[in-house]
Amino acid sequence: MDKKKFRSYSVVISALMGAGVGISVANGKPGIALAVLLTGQWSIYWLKSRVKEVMEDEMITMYAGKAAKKVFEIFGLLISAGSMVFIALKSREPYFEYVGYTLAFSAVTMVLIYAIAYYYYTRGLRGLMSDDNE
Amino acid sequence: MMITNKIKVFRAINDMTQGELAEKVGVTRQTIIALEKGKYNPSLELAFKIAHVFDVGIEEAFSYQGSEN
Repeated sequence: MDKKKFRSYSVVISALMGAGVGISVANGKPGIALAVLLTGQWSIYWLKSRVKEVMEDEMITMYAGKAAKKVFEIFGLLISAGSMVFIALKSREPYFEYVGYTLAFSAVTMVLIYAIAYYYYTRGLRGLMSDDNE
Repeated sequence: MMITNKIKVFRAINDMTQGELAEKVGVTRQTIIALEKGKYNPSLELAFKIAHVFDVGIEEAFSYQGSEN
């Protein structure tokens, strides 16, 4: 399979996933929504593995990493600040507190996932600093 | 740009397209285009692979234009 076909199939699968998840959620069936999401993601990964051309290389990985870091910084700051604002305004609207805590927990979850990913990708570098004096 | 290269020259000498070079070194054609235009500095591994494809030394294909400071 070539890249063009992969992109076309991915768009179709994504559209089907969006429709499937939307309908399932609207009908109050989160289990089906999750199943659709996982099946769709698995299908895309499977299709990607069938592509013979190079899909990602070091340049794409580098720029994707830079973009992801920037998103992490900006979005992390926004939801952290947003959570504080919402929690501070809880006296005005009681549900602001829930919104604030949801944002705060999202920020913490994001930082945790980042920390795990960072730990995983730098696992080969651990202990190198101790070699400085050798 | 600190690092310059002669990829385009070596491609012409070896009568090789950007796509062919990309396939040989395992990157996308966009990366070869970016390298030739000086918009991207390759990793050491990719630089070695490119030099190897052209059968030249890495210092022949790439040069560092560093300042004395």
